[in-house]
Parts: sequence; C-alpha cells; structure tokens
Amino acid sequence: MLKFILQRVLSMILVVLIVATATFFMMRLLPSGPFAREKKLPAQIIQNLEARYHLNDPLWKQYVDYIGNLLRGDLGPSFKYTNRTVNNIIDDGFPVSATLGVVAVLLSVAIGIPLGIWGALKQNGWQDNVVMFVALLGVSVPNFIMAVLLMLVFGLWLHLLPVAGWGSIRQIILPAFTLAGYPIAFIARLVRSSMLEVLRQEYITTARAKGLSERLVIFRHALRNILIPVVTVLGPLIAAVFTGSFVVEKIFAIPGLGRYYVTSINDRDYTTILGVTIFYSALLVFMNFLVDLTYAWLDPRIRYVERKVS
Amino acid sequence: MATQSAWEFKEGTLPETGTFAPAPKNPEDLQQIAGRPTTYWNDAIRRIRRNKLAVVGFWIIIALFAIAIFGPMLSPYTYAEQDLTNTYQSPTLRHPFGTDQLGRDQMTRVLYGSRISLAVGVVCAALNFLIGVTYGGIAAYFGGRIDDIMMRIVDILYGIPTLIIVILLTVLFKDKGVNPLVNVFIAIGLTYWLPMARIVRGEILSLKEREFALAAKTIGAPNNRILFKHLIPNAMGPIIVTVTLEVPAAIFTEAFLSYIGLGVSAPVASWGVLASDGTEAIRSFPYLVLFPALAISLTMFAFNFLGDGLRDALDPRLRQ
Repeated sequence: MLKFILQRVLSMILVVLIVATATFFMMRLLPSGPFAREKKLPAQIIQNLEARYHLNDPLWKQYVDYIGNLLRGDLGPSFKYTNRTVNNIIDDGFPVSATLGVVAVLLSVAIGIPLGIWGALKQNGWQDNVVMFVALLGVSVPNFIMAVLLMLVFGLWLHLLPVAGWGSIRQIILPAFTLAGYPIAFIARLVRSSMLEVLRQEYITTARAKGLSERLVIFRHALRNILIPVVTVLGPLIAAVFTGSFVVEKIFAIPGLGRYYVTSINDRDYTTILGVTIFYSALLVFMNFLVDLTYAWLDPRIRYVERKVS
Repeated sequence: MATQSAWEFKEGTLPETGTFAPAPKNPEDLQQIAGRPTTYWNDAIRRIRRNKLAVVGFWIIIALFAIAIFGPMLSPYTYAEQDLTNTYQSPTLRHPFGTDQLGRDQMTRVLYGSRISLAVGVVCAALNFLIGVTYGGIAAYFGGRIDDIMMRIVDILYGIPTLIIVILLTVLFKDKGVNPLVNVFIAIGLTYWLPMARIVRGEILSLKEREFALAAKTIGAPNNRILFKHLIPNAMGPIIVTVTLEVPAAIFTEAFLSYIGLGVSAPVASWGVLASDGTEAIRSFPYLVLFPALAISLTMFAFNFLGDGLRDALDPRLRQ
C-alpha cells in the first residue's frame, strides 16, 4: 500500500510539472503579448512592463524561474490586475467554487444513487423508464442550457428562488443543481446497471433465502457492491463539476474561481490562465488520487492484488 | 486386420428391429428448425430496431441533417440580415422564433446554427476516429515498450480536464489568427480521441491473439495489413459506439466554447453564440434563449439515444 501511494504521489508531481511546462510554453507562443492593447503603448512603457514581469529574460530563464516559484507555491503576478497575484485570485475564488462544488457532488450522490436503485428494482416498469429518461436528459442537456432553463423556470416564472448572486443558502440551490445535473444522471445510470448485475448474484439469493427483508437485502448486501463503481467515476465527475463551474458561475454571477478563469481567458491574462490551469490540474490529479485510495479501501480485492504485485 | 469393437458402429448399421428404431431424417426438416443464419450486423440491426428510443434518435438525426442542408435555403431571411426597426420581436408568423437584438430572424439563425453544430460533430468525430483508432491500434499491436510509452502519454492527458486543454488550444490558435471554426475542429479533434484510443487498444489486445490474426501473420501479411484489414474491422462495433457518443460531446464543446466567447464570432450564428446572446437578455426576452437551448438539447438527445442503442446492440459484453 505504501509503495502504491508513493508511486502515485510521484506520478502526480510529474503530471503537474508536464501540465505546467506545456501551458507555460503555450502561453509564451501566443503572438500578441500581454500588453497588446487597442491603443499602442509607448515603447518605453512596454520595456518597463517587460522588465517588471521579467519578460526580457531569455525564455529558459523565465521557465526555470517560473518552475522554481511554482515549487514554492508562488504563481506570480497577474498581468491584468496590477496589484494582485495569481495566488490572491485563487485565495478569493477557490473557497466559493469549492463550496459550490462540494454541494453539487453531495447532491449528485444523494439523488443519483437512490434514483438508480429505484430504477433497478422496478426494472422495465414505468418507474424504470422515468429514471432512464431523466438520466438521458441529464446527460444530454448542456450545463449552460440547464442553468438558463432552471433560472427561467424557478427564478423568473415561478419566483421561487433568487436568479443570481452569492451569499445565501437559497442562492446556492440553482447553481448546485445545474452542476449536479450531469453527475446525477451519470450515477443513476451506473447504479441502475450495476444494481441489476448485483441482484442476479448468488449471495443475494442466499440473503433472500435466509428470509431477510427486502430492505436489508438491498441496503446491507447489495448497496456495498454498488458503491465501488460509483467511487471510480467520482474522479471524472469532479472534473465535470470543475469545468461546469466555468459557465455556471458566470451565468449565476458567482465570484468563484471558474468565473475568474473565464474572465482571464477573455482578457488574455496569461499568468492567471497559466496559474489557474496548473492549480486545477493539481487539484484534479489529487482528487483522482483520493478516489483511488477510497477505492482500494472499499474493495478488498484491489488491496490484495496490490500486495501481491508489490 | 483390426477387430471391430463393440462400441463402433456406422450410420445405418443399427439394428432395424425392435422398439428403438431411429426416426427418419429429412434434410429439409432440419433446415426449417435451424432458422435463417444471422450475422453480427444483421443481429445488431434487429436489436436496434427493437429499441424505440434509438430509432427515434436515428430519425431525429436524419431530420436534423435535412434541416441543416435545406432549412437555411428555404428561409426568406439570411442569418446576418439586420432590421433595426424590429428588434426583440416576440414569435410571430413572420418570425416564428422572434428576432434578436439586431432584428435578425432567430429561426434562420437557429437553422444556420444547425449547420455549424453538425459540421463540428461530424468533423471532430472523424478526426477522433482517425487519431484514436490509429493510436490505440498501433499501441496494442506492437505492444511492449511502445505500448507502455504510448499509453502512459494517454494516462497523463487523461489526468487533465479535457475542457481545459481544449480551451488552451482554442486560445492559442485563435490568437494565431486561425479561422474560428477550423480552430474548434483542431482543438476538439486533437483532444477527444483519448477514450477511443483506450477502447481500440483493449479490443486489439485481445483480437491479436486470435487464430485469424495468427493465420494472416503466417502467410506473411505485412503488419499494417493485419492491423487495418484484419484486426480493426473486427473491433468496429465498439468503435462505432464511441464515435456516435463523441458527436454530442463535440457539439456540446463547440457550444460551450462559443458560449464563453472562444468559438465562432459574430455575425456567424452557432447555437452556443445564440444561447449566449439569449442569456444576456433573459430577463426581458426569455424566448430568445429558449429556441437555441431546445435545438442543442434535442440534438444531444438524439445522438445520445442512438449511441446508447448502438452500445446495447453492438457491444456484446454489455448484452444481457
């Protein structure tokens, strides 16, 4: 297990470094420098700006400096906001995005799993058809469309919830459901199909033969084996929630990291794009690592194979 | 001269006397019991026909292609034609979907947008197919160290959110002055082949151990012939399923990029641009966002229905 963790940590660092390198050179490849404006700046000012951001150093030195700072956790200054660093931007935006993301992931697990179980138990009944239809709906409707539709129906027509903004619990509901739409659908489908598979297995028949109530059979015996595939897809689903937050935060006017990221892209704020990309990649890689650990902890077979291999 | 053992007998040598005479065999009767022989593809078509949602998806897609090709031709307006005296019209007979902030006919713009979305879907799926199948096929067929290196690269790319790579590539090419639509093709085409590569690799790994691959090798067929003529055609089922499911992913990504301002730009109307413009005016003119939203969702629906049906029909591992 220890060797497995060490190996994963090393490969995590490698992935983040590769992302940092690729993004760094991509940003430097861009033809329009960060100070290209509609109105051309005087040469002297450009020179001063370049000196301030060390852009007149040779490329390799810029790269080495950047990676050196990165290893110390310093992502450098923002090109756009002269008195802010990329770290400031992440400090401001990430807690908001994380709150929203955690709520969305909890919602998707809390709704997706029961929905899938319900569909499987009523296989081929109308309830099952409803579940499958909802699942396809969730997978098919893009998040920005979902955001707009929820906003229209619950905010503007029914006046049940605030249309946008951040700060109160009522304001979290719509964006969180928007972000959870795809994961709910995905988990419901997955749980339904693995439930159908598990219910055919012999230990379930044994449990029923013992005279256990259906409730006990489902929740004590079947559910545990269904959690494993759900845990494995949590990694990609967390990524979907991250990237979903790019538009959802913009639409609902939430001051989160996703919105800063999109703004920095439209402003061509290269250092912010670079820093936030690295941050997102590191976060996602770390989440995947946690998911893998949970997976190994949940399923004894994986631990066993791991021990045999190492 | 071997003695005939008591266990051996030939047909017709059974004792004809007694109660247990064999029933007479008529070759034609046997034919009737056997039923028509069926191939993998016939079987798949039969399965897909029974899946109502998949059939509905299929016909919606056909209709969408027809609308994309002929719709804009039949419309009396063009997508860029402005009428500043008639901005933000509600749906009427003259403008069934209303008009936008510059008085352009929203229906024409939605119809025109279907061309962009479908083009993105088809071109990107084709690129993913070419790159993913070749990459996964080569990795699996040559195996060993080549496979290790190639799949490690895929693993690393998998660790980064795809959308972030697409966004970065789009920014890069956009600032290099590449045509926005071509830019979307490149960015999505270069990124979304990862699942395809993994699936093809998995298929080829098992197929290459089979007898027909060995037979081809024995008679001296060159590697590329074995790979592309023998192995990959046998992996076509899962490949088609993946391609079908990648079309809506590409359409979604294009709409997403346009929505955040990285895709095609005005006056060209992609569904993402229309949805984005509509969102700006959502408080006062909510129908403006409604039609592009419905168009995107319907298209994604249709492809996902068909893809799901194809997966059930073509992927034998998932058969029940």
